[in-house]
Formats: sequence, C-alpha cells, structure tokens
Amino acid sequence: MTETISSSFSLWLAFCVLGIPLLSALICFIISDKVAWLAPLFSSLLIMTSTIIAIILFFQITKTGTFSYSWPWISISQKTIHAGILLDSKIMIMVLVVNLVSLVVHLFSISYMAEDNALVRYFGMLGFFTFAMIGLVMSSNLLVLFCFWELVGFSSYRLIGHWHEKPEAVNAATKAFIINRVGDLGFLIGLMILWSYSSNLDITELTPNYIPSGWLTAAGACIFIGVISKSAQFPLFNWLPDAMEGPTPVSALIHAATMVAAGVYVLIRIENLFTTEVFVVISIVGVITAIAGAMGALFQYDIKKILAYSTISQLGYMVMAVGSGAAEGGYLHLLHHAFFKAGLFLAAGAIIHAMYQSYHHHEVKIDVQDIRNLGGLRKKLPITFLSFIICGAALAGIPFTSGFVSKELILTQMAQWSGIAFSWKWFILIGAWMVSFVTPIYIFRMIWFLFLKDAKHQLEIIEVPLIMRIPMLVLSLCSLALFVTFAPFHISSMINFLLATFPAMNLSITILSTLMVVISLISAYFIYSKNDLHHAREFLFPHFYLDWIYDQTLIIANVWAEFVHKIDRKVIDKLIHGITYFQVTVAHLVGWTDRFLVDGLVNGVAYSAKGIGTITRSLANGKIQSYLLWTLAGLLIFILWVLS
Amino acid sequence: MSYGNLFLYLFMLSAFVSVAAMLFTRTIFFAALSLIVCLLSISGIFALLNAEFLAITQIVIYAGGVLVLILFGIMLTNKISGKPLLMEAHHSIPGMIISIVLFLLLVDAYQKTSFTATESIQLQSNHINHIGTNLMSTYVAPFEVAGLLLLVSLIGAALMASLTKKNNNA
Amino acid sequence: MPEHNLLFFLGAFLFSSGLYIVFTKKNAIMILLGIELMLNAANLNLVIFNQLTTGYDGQFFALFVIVVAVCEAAVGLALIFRIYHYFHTSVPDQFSDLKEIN
Repeated sequence: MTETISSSFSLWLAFCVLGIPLLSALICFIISDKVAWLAPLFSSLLIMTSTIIAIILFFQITKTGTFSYSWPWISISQKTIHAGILLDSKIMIMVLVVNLVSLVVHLFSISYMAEDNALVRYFGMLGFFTFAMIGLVMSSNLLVLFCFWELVGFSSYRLIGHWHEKPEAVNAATKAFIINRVGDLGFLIGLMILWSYSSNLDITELTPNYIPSGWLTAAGACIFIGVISKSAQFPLFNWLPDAMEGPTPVSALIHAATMVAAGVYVLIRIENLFTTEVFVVISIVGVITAIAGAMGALFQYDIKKILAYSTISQLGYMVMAVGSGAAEGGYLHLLHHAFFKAGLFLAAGAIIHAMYQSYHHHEVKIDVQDIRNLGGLRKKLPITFLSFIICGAALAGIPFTSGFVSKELILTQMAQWSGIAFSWKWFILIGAWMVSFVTPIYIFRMIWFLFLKDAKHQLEIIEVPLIMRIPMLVLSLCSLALFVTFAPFHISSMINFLLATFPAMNLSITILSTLMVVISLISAYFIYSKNDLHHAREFLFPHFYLDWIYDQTLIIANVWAEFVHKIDRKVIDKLIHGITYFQVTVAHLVGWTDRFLVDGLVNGVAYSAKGIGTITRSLANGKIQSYLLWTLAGLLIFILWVLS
Repeated sequence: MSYGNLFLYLFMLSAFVSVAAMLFTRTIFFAALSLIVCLLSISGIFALLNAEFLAITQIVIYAGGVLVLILFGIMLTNKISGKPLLMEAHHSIPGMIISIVLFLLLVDAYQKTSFTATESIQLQSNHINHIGTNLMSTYVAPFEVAGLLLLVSLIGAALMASLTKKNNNA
Repeated sequence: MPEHNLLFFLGAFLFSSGLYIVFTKKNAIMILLGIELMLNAANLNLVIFNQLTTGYDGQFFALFVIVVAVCEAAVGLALIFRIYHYFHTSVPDQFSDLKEIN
C-alpha cells in the first residue's frame, strides 16, 4: 500500500517537473505583448518551482530506487509502443542538472535580454526547450525519446534564429536545422532496424539478443549518425560554431550544457546495444573531434567561437570516453561540463553585455566579441573574472575542480581499456592526453586576452548587475570539486552513486595529469605573456628547434652532395636517359588511351546522365494531369508489387 | 423478380453505353448529357437494390442539380470563348494502360473476395422510414457536419465566382 | 446472386473510365465530370455492399458521399470559372504555373 502511494507520488512529481516548463512556455505564448515584462518573471518562477520539485523527486527516487511508469501509446496489430517515464538516480541527476542550468540561464536572461523586443518568444522557447530536454532525459522509450529529440532540435532552431533580422542568425539556424535533419534520418533508420527485429523500443527491455549482429551494427551506426549531428561530432560539427549567432544565454543552455550533450546521453543510455565495431567507430570519431575542436579553439578570436570549439572538443572527449569503455567517466564529465561550460558562456555573456553597454554609451564601433579588442577586465569585472577563472580551471582539469575528477576517471578507465600491450587503442589514449594538454593552453589564452593583458581602449566598464552575477557564481560553485565530492583526489562519494563498480585509483595517472596541466599552463604563459598573436603557431613548432634541425640538415647535406654529385655524373645520367625514352613511349600510349577510352567513357556517362535527366525532367512538366498520371502509375506498381 | 432482373440488366447496359459514349465523344456538351444518362441509370439500379431514398436523391441532386450546374458552366465558358467546346486528349496510351490495369486489379479483388450474402433488409419494406429515423438519431452528427459543409462550400463558391466579376470590372 | 458480380464489373468499369477521363481529357470541366463518375462508381459499390450486409450503413455512406460530391462540384466549378477568367482557357495544360516555380 505504501509502495503504491510513494510510486504515485513520484509519478505526480515527475509530471510536475515535466509539465511546469511546458506551462511556462504556454503562458509565454498566450501572454499579450503589452505585459511582456511579466514573461521573464513568470517563467523564472515556474522553472524555480520545477527545480525544487526535481530536488524533492531526486530524494524520493534515491529512497525508493528505480521508478518506471508507462502506458500504451500506439497499438499496431498486437505490437504496442509504450510511452513512459523511467527514473533512477543516474537519470535524476541529469534532470536536476538540466533544471538547474535552465534556471540560472533564465535568471541571467532577465537582465541580459532586458532590452530585447521579443521577450515573450524568447522565454517561451526557453521554457519549451526545458520541457523537451527533460522529456528526452526521462522517456523510457526510444520512439518517445526521438520525438523529444526533434522538439529539442526545433527549439534550438528557433532560439539560434531569435534575432531573425540578422541574416547570419537565420543562416546559422537553417544550417543547424538541416545538419540535424541528416542525423535525425540516421537515428530514425536505426530505430526502424531495431523495431523490425525486436518489435520493442523500450530502453530497458531492448536487448541485442534477437538481432543479427550485422543489423545490430548497422542500427548502432545509424543511431550514432544521429548523435554525430546532435552532439556536433567530427564530420558534422560545423553548425555549432555558427549557432553562436543566437543569444549568449541560449548558447550556454542549449549549445553547451544540455542539448548537444543529449547525443552523448543517448549513447550512454543505449550502450548495451552497440557492437564492438560501433564502439571502434565511436571512439575514433570522438578522438578526432576532440583534437579538431581543441585546435580550432586555439586559433579563434571570437569569445563565443572559442567556447564553441571548446564545447566540440569536450563533446568529442565524452564520445571518445563512451566509445572506449569509460561510459561512466563520460557521463560524469557530461554533468560537470554542463556546469562549467554554462558558467563560461554566462561569463562571456556578461563580458559582452558589459562591453556592449559601455560601447553603447561611447558610440564606438568595435567588435565586442573579438578577444583582441578586449583586455584588462580583471579589475573592472571582478566577479566575472572569478567565475571565469573557476569554470576555466574546471575545463582545464586543474585539481580541486570538478573537471579534474571526471577527466581523471575517464583517463583511468581508458587506461584499463587500452591495456598494457600496444594496439590501436593507444592512439586513442594518446589523443585523449593530447586534448587534456591543449585544453589548458586555450583556456589560458582566453583568460590572458580577456582579463590579464592590458586594455587597448579607455572605456568605463561597469560590473554586470546582481541578477547576472548570481547565476555565474552558482555555476562556478557547482564547478568546484567540493560540490561534487568531498575528497578531490579520491573520486568516490558522488561517483559511488553512479557506478556499481568503481575502478581502482591509479596514482600515476593522477600525478601525470596534474603534471601535464602544470606544464601546459606554464608553456601557455610563456607563449602568450611575451606578445600576442602569432606565438600560438610558434609554440606548435618552436623555432629554435627547427633552426637547429635545419642547420644540421644543411651540414650533412653538403657532405652528401659532393658524394652524390660524383655518382650522378657516372651512373644516374645514363639511367635517366633510358628512363626518359621509356617514359615517352609510355606517355604516348597513355595519351592514346586517355583520348579514346577514358574520354569516351566520361562523355558517354555525361550523355547518358543528360538523357536520363531529360526523361525525368519531362515528367515534371508542370501539367497537373501528367503528375497525377505518374503518381497513380507509381501507386499501381506498388500495389501490384505488394500483391504479388 | 424476373422483371426486376430484366430492368437491372437494362439499366446496367444503358450506364455502360453512356459511359462508353463519354469516353469516345469529342463534344463536351454531349459528354455531359451522356453523364446524365449514366447517373439516371445508376439511380435506377439503386432503386432496384432496395435503396429508393438514395435513388431519389441521386436524381434530384445529380441529374437535377449538379449536372444542370455543369451544363450552365459549359455554356458560360462556351459563350466567352466564342467557339464550340471540343476537347482534345493527351496521354491516351499511358492513361489507357493505367486504367485497364486498375480495372483488372479491381476485378481481381472482387473475384478473390467471397461475399457471404446475408438475407436481411430485402425482407423489410419501409426502407425510407427507417433511413429517416436513423438520419435523425444515429447519424445526426455526420448529418449536421454535412449541412455545415454544404453551407461552407455554397458561400465559398459564391464568393469565388463574384470575386471574378469584380476583378473583371475593375 | 449472379447479378452482383456483373454490378461489381460495372462499378470497376465506371471507376476506370472516370480515371481515364481525368487523365486524358484536356478540359477542366471534363475532369470534373470524370471525378463525378468515379464518385458514382464508389456509390454503386457501397449500395451493393449494403445489400450484402445487415443494416443501412452503406446507404448512409453513399448519401454522405453524394453530399460531398455536390460540394466538390460547386467549388470545382467556381474554381474553373475563376481560372477561366484569369487565363482565358479551361485547358489545364495552358495554366502550367506549377512548372515556373524553380
């Protein structure tokens, strides 16, 4: 009896957590433009309520254990798709993170977007996004999850294009939307394969047992394509830097903390479905993305673009972790990343806001997002500086921050996975180490340019208002290791919660990674403190090494050249003559083949393509009757094919 | 019963002949007239199949309403263009192929289906009475929706036709 | 009942003829006639099915089909008039605006 009461209590709470953001979106959509100032207030209050309920639900779930509830949604000839909610402590943490980040972003937006004239639309879409994201996290069925996945993509599209009077924003929104459609196609095909073999899309009941391994690999690869586009992985990551055209709080919420992490989240949820081949693909794609993103972040000058590339890099890191047996580490990193990256974005937003305000007063036209135009903000924006430093430290993986804990967990698990014997897994491992070496450099570069370097301009910059400072401070607090575990060098208290079996601590990895961060920071300091820009490249190829190598090469080369010269005269010249004659003969032969065989083939292909084009084009001649005719012809052929 | 059968065959024959005439005629006016004949014979078939109410509706609405409307339409467009409306055909071969394939498909479907005839309403007599009662009780919702649809299409059609005139005047 | 078979043939014939008219005749009014023919073929089948079952469902369905057909004819004719006044023709080939949108 008590169990049913508590479970129905959980159900109600879950519905509240899911429904309140939707309610906030609905209120924002029906509210009149005259009282638009009410929208931020209402939606922030509602999200706060939902966060509190989520906390209550969290404790409820930790007390009662896994909770699931489902009801039949679609029935097709004895096969039923259930829509349902699945909650355990692992999922609830994600729900909490989404709620908390959404709450601080709402608060931050109150001030950041105060002068915007489409407040209602903005807050409505924020609420809608929160609803969709929580739905995605909670749903227990892959099809329902896919629906929310689409809704999340839709609200991301709307929010990137929020300032739709800017053509760049519209283009970026369209780009994000279209690239995400490619991935969604893959996701859908994967779901179809799973459905046709197991007639069941419940995440908990879906087992690879009934599915042939070839098809399972195909399904996993297709779903991973969806993840690639949503989480901005290697071939499809270019939409994320463009997505920075949206308002900065949106970038913090959607394109750093939650939505882009949804891909990684899905990977972790359906991890048991992937075959070994898929895991190989996942880890390779992840490591390529991580390195490419880190390199991109090293050479960008736009604040938000740097953070976007850094997000790509970190997402690649998580995907790589999932692919190489460090799924728990990846999940932990996802949660930590949500906090510190959102904090970084909010701090960047605060800088942009403050700069914009001061430029606005002085009527100077400079790109406020270009880090070369900024500097010396340490004294003027102390709170922002503090939170940027903390979040940046977490991103760099400096001890006593959350990023250090999760990074170390990933590296430990990956070291176990790759083993001692040399194999291709080592390259992945080296890639992971490389990324954790480069990350502190680019974050130091940002801090150097933004805060430490002397300012080029003489502007009066005022610290941002309280309502913007509190969210940043909350997020930086969450990025401290104290918040997630009480012993920063011993990753146990929080992770015990997530992991059944906790890998043994490896002291050497701890020391090595700490050392690496220190070296990286020192080298970054020497690169950037001297002068500004092009030293980044010089770091990659230190010129003194190169000069030395060039000199040595020249000396050796001179000695060799004398020797080779003699041989050249006597032996090689004759050889070369012979080879030349042979080459000319071959060239004639090749030329003939090229003209008659290859050209003929190419032209033939072109002609046939043109012919096919003419035939197909004649079908689309604008006459409604012929459209109808061919449509019906197709339908009849289909019917006949089905009947036979 | 045999008379009924005889009439049924007659009506079927006339429907068939009129449709065939429709297919091969080139005058649109003649085609419309033969459609009237076809619809009238179908209403005869309806009457013989215990659907008297439907037969009357068919005569009143189709033969009396729709076809007159169409004839008016033909004459109106005829008057404006100033020459008798002949129609040409295109896509004859593919159209014919598709139509024949569809016909064969339908016939095949009929052949494959086994219809178990239940001796039911043939024995009852007052079909119209029954239909009237049902129309006002069981089927009242579709009835009302149909009325609404008629009203909407009436207004829409009138609006569209009148807009044309205004544009022409202006 | 042997005549049912024949009636089904008639229905199929009416339907295919209507389709043929819709595809091939180069006049919008003729297309409308073809659609009416197809609707009537469907009606005929509904009445036959009604004969083969208990109740009056088939007849009611046919009744509503007639109502919808009336609406369709009225709106269709109004559309044809409008197109006629705009393009000065009722041959659908000549108003191929669908093609221009590239």
